[in-house]
Amino acid sequence: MINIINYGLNNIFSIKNCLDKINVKSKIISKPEEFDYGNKLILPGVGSFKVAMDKLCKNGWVSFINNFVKNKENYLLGICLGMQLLSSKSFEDEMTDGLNLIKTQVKKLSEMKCNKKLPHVGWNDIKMRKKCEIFKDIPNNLDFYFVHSYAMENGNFVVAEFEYGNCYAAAVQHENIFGVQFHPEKSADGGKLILKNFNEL
Amino acid sequence: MLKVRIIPTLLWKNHSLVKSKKFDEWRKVGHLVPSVKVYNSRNVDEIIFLNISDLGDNQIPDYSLVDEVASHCFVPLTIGGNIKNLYDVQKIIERGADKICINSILESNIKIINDISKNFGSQAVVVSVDFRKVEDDYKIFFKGGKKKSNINIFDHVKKVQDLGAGELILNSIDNDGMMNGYELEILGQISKFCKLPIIISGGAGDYSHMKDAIEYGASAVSAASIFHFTEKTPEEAKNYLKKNNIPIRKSIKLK
Repeated sequence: MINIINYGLNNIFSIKNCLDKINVKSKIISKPEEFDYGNKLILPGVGSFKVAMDKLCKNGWVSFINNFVKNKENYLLGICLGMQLLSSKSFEDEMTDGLNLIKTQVKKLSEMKCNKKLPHVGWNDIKMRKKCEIFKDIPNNLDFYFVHSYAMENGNFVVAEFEYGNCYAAAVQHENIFGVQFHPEKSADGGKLILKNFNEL
Repeated sequence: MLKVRIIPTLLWKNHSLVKSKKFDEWRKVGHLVPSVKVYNSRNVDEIIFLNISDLGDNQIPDYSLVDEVASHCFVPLTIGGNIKNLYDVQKIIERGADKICINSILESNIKIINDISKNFGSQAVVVSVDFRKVEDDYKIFFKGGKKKSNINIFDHVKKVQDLGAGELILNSIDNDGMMNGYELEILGQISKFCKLPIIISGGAGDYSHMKDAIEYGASAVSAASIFHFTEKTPEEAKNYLKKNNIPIRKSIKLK
C-alpha cells in the first residue's frame, strides 16, 4: 500500500494510474490524518519549489514527513519536484528551505555548468553510480522521461546520474529516503519497475 | 543524451478514430483504448491525441476522452482540440496530459501561448503549425486546414517561439496521409533558425522518411497512416533508426 501526498500542485492522477496498472494498491491523501496503513509514502510535485514548500508547511505535512521517515521501516519516494523538496534549500526564484532530509541544495542547471536549452525535457539515459534497491533489475543506461530546469547539487547520496551538458543527480538515496528527478509514471516499463521495486521494499 | 522520439498521432473525429489525406477524406481506423494500449506496448516515446471534431466555437473539449486516453498511457501525452483558455488547459493537465497542443485559438489569441507558458511551463505548450503551399508561399491554416490565413509560415514560427512555446508540430497539409515522405525543405529552413524542438508530421510512409526528417533537424517524428495502414510498427522504426546511428531510447519489457 502506497500513500500519495496530494498538496494541490501535481499531476497525481498519472502516478495513481501507473500504480493501478502494476496492481499496487495506493491512496491519495490530502491531509496527514488521511494516511492509511502501510509503510510507503510518495511525495510528487510539479511546479515551483517555494509554492510547494508553502503548501507542505500550511497543511502539516512537514512534521508528518519528518516523523514518518524517523521510523526506518518506512520508505519515502520523492518524484521530480518531490525529490528536490527533500533537500536543505533551493535557489529557485528566492532561497527557500526544503525538508532538509538530504543535505544538499537545489540550483538551476544553468548555474551548474549546463549550457544547454532549458527545461531539460525528454527521454534521457541514466548511469548508475551506486547500488540502489529501487533500481533492481534496471539495466544501466536505460532511458527515463525528464522535465525540469533545476536539480540537486552532487553528493555521496547520488545513486544515478544523467548527462545534459554536464552530469547531474537523476536519483538519490539516504537511508530510507529515495528521490528520482525523472517521472517513473511516464517512463514506460522501466518507470513501472522502479515503482514496483519501491513497493516491494 | 536526449533521444529522438517516435510519436503516433491519434485523430478523433465525431466518435471515432480517423485518418485523413490532406486533412480531408476521413477514414475510420479502429478504436481508441485498444490503439492506445497497442502503442504503449510497442514502445512509442510519446502519444499525441487530437480531437478534431467540429464542435463549434462555444463547445468545451471533451474531458472524458482525455481520461480514456490518459488512463492507458504510460508515456508522455499531448492532448489537443478545441482548447480555448487556461481553464481548458488546466482541466486537461489535471486529467493526466503532460502537454497541450493548440492551433485554431492562435488565430484570435496568439498571446495565449505566453499565458499557458507562464502558468504551466513552456514545456507544456505544443503549437501545431498547419501549413500548405499557396502559390509561391507557405501559409498557415487554422481550424483543421479549413481556414486559410495570410500568415507566412516563417513569420508565424518566429512569433510562436518568441511568445514562449515549448515545441512545434510542423504539419504539412499537402503531405498528410500521402505516405511519400515529410516536407523536408521547410523543415530544413525552419530548423536553421528555430531553437524549439520540432516534431515533424505528415507524410511518413517508410522508416527512411523518418531518418531523412531527423537529418533535416526534427527532434521527433510523428506518424499515423504508416502505423494504421501498413504492417510497419514504431518498434521496427526504432530498430531501423538505431542501425543508422540515430539515438533512440533504450527500453525494457516488464514481466
